[in-house]
Amino acid sequence: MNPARSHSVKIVLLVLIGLCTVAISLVSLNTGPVKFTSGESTQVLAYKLGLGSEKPTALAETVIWSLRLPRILLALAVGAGISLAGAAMQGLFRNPLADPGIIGVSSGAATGGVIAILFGGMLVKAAPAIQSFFSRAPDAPSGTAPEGWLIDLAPHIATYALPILAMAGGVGVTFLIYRLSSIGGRTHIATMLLTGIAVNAIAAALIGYVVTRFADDTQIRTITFWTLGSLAGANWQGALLVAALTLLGGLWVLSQWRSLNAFLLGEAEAFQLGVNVQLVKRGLIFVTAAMVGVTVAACGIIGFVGLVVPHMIRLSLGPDHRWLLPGSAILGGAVLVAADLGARTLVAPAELQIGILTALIGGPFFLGLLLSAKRKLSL
Amino acid sequence: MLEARELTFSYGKHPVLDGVSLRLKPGKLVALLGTNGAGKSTLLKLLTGELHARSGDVRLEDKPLPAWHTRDLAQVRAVLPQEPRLAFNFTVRDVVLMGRTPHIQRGETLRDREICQQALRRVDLQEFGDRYYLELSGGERQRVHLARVLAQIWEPLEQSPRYLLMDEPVAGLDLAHQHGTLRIARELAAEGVGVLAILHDINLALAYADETVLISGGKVAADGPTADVLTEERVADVFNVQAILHRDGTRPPYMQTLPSA
Repeated sequence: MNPARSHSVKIVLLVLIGLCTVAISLVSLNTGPVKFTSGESTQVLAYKLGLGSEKPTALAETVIWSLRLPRILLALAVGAGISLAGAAMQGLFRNPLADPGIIGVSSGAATGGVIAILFGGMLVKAAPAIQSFFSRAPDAPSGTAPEGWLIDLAPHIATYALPILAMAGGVGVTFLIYRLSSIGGRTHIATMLLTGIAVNAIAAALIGYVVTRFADDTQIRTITFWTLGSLAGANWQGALLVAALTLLGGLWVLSQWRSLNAFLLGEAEAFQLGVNVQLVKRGLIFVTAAMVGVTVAACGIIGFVGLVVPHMIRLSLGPDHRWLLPGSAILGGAVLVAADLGARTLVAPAELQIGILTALIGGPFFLGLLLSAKRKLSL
Repeated sequence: MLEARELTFSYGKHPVLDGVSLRLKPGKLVALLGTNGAGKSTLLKLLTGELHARSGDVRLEDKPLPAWHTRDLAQVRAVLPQEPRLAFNFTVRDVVLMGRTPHIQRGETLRDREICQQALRRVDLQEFGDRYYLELSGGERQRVHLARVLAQIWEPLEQSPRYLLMDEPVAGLDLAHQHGTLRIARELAAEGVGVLAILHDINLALAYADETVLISGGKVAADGPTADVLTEERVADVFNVQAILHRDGTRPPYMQTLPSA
């Protein structure tokens, strides 16, 4: 471990991590049931972006442009989002074990997502009845399909309720944990982890109940989607939305690196160093939990990435948030692209849940961290 | 001047401070002494703005503390916490550099780095810049944080004199570094910094502090020039011990304490 490396060395390392991310994305673009050469995939990209005139085959165009590219973009955004959120939460809670999955933020978001789908589905179903109740035209010929603003709007409300309620669930849990585990400006780590256990259990019960009870009549998705995650549903619209929101939140989090460093000393110490503690704290809680909420709405809970990635960056670049935050975002993208590549190719033609892979690698990593934490941290 | 007037504070129903007033003038080293649970740390937290008094107010340069912008305040006033905790493995240099936070606009300058190196030299850790914080001993960590707060108020500023508040700065330090820390506090006072330090050792107060505030049961038992405050009778009374003051005229007076009879 050498956090004492000079700035220029750290910049070079960041660029190298970035190149790895690009490389693994290109590999992922070419790999799958249908294999392509880099030349073919470049041709598709160039053609679609208006840079090349040579028309690719219809198969290449569909698979690369419509299936794999949005999925890779989603993986990059989700990986960057949860890794950045993990790094920032670890700063906020002053503890390297604060992973959005472990402390329950992700399952809070998933609960919000499930509830949004449940009520969104109910709303869409009930919309015609509600509409006709309020605007019953007495002379309307019977048998015509009911119409009105509510019927038009209901599917959109249902669509947007998902990310919004997921964000709300994540933010709510984060506030709860902060209130419970922060005592006098210091984080009580055991309380933080225990709160996570309780929240995860409650969320699992709620999700399990709603999903099994209403699975037939709404698009509630499967339990494994929520608990183990999947990027299989990726499309351009969703990927671009997640990428845009992640970029927005991520840039703000990156701008807070100096405050986050001061936060590691304790809340009072950060205040005495001139940090507006309340503003930064609330902002970080809200933005990081919202970022987690967006990713959970898009692809379920993908565990341990927010724990492992920042830790790997700390080992190579040190704990300074100036380097930790961008490093985590870039490496997080690479890790998730790689994990998703594994998820869709390891047992082809079937697909693995991506959370199975991240948990298989991240779980033992977490145990190792706990072992070393017995020495380094006061748990 | 940092001035507290008639501060009252309680944790729940348990009163901690009852009408405490205190003045810290620039250029003075003031020791804050008292028994366990007398309210010393609470008073210090009220003086830093970390806690807010039930009644009474704290003013810095005649402006109430809450009216100060957090960053402006941090440029002129540093606080050394009692038990600094940091669970992340920064280099010593980076921890000290955090002290420059309120002064840095965009990125730290060469001057900020120079100040950090000088601050490390001042606490006798000049070779420790590249070492890892978590690999240091407790006393060394304490001195890293001293260097951090020194770096925070290293240079005089136009808008206000500087202040340094220290919560038990010598706890956990070996004898040489106890004296080293208080000698630094004295030097800062000579530079015009107002320094307040919570101490337990009466003899360190006698040797270094211009003034002493003695707190007992949430009230000020006595304050003024240290030699006038720390008399045999008062120490015996407040701390419930026998106290015998030895003077030989050349060295600072020395107070021997024995269990109360």
